[in-house]
Amino acid sequence: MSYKRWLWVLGSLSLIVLCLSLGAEPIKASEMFLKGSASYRILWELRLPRLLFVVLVGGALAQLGGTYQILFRNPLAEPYILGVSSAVVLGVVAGEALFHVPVLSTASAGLGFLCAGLATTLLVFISLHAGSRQVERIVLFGMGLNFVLSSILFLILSFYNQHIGGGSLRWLFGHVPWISFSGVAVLYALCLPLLGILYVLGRPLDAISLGDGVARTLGFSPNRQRIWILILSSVLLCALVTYTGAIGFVGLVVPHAVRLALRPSGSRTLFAFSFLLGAAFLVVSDSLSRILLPPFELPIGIVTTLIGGPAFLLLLWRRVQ
Amino acid sequence: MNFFQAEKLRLAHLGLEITAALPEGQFVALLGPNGIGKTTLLRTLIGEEKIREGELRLFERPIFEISPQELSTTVAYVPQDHEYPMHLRVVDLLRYAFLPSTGWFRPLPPEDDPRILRIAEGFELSGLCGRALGNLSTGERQRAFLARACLQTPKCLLLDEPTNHLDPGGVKRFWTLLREAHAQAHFSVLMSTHELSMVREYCDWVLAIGSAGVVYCGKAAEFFQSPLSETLYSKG
Repeated sequence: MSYKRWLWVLGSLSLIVLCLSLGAEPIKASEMFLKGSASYRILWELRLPRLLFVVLVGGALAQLGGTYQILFRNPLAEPYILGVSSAVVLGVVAGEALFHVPVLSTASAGLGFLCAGLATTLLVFISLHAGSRQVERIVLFGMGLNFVLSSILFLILSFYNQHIGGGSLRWLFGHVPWISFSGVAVLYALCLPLLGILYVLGRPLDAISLGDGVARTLGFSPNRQRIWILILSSVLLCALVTYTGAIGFVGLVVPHAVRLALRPSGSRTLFAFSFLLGAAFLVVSDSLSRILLPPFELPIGIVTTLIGGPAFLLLLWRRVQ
Repeated sequence: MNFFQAEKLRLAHLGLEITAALPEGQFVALLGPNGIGKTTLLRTLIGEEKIREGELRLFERPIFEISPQELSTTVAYVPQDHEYPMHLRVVDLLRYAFLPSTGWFRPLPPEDDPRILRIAEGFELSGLCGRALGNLSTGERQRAFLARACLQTPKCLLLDEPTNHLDPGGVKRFWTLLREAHAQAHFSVLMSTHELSMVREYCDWVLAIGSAGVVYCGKAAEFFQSPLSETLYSKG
């Protein structure tokens, strides 16, 4: 690995660790390891689980974005493009509005998973029939689904506005909940294996990036890989979105930033660095969202776009020059 | 042995019926007017299109019996509009030629693998290895795709109008390199093209398809002595 890549790894990791110290309440160095002190509890029982959670979300979104961009041969693809996350959001919001199921409860997550499952089934069905020449049809179908689901969502929101507490509204724009260690552990147990499999699937994606015909003569069957990736990524996305809503921008821009800065030689390198950079980026955004206007917490989706947007434009500008 | 054999083959969506056999090791030009089904025939050979009727064999094996792994050791394919990631470097494209042998888990060979260096030199790509495919000229890029396909050491190379967007110099260079690679590695070539002067100069065999089916299947020299080379593209 070149020294430049090591620098990026070190930089990202130190940013992540550094962000542990950021928050509304300052951490006293002397009390850091003193059991029972305020600093100890804030650091190890609140911030660390939240940090681990944000690392997973940011990394997973960025890796998924990179996966979709290669899979659909579309630089604008991002994790939310296929409407699976809209289905989750619709399930959760409809649950709260129509049946008073509170957001972030198990029942609410169940509704989200149910809707996402239906959406994914539709997408798999379309991919089976789209064939290799019409990959863009899968994306178009997903985008159409996205629009339909979003408009139903807004319909519900406009009718049931008064029944919906702050819960879903905050969550809609991307929100990081305070989460316990056991919650984080469950999420890692579910998501890390999925991310691992998607990482391994980077190999066939390398072949697929040269076109389905070439992929076939390189020993992979593109349709089968596409369907596996669709199913695995939908489960992953579902698990994350039920907690955080839709945090935009990370999945779209981080893989491009990695490509521009590091020129990865294959999908797996792209995935690894996207995960790392996405994690660091979302951790920084999360910290900023908490410390910019204390005690208020800004919606994280807004922060990601506000700091990520200009940074990305700058990177792009330097490449164009 | 024949590397390609079709018996009363009818392709998806197309009306024509193809019966032909092509002997192994030959450099075969696939001729025919636009829209006649050359691309579909090539895509059917790699299993991307379904067969409607009849039989199609690759090295005496019906193509539906050929597994993806087996296909990858038999055929290399250069499609008409080759997809490629803009930022992919030439050397990484060449490394992808080893995907069939590395499978899912073994690492690809390093950038300075002698096989990669040799093929890069042979296809005049040595100075371009570090460049991104998006920054190459069309001619350079097509050479890179051809080099990738040859590096896969196939028994049979399928090419779909690979010199479509090249200038006359680039066309000549491409054909020369392909012919040299063919002479060295002795693989069979089936290449759809419209460049009759190049076919006359470089190809051993011609498979010509018209609206009714196979018009000619045989030695290239005899094809050019017959009036077929003139009438093949005339309408009606």
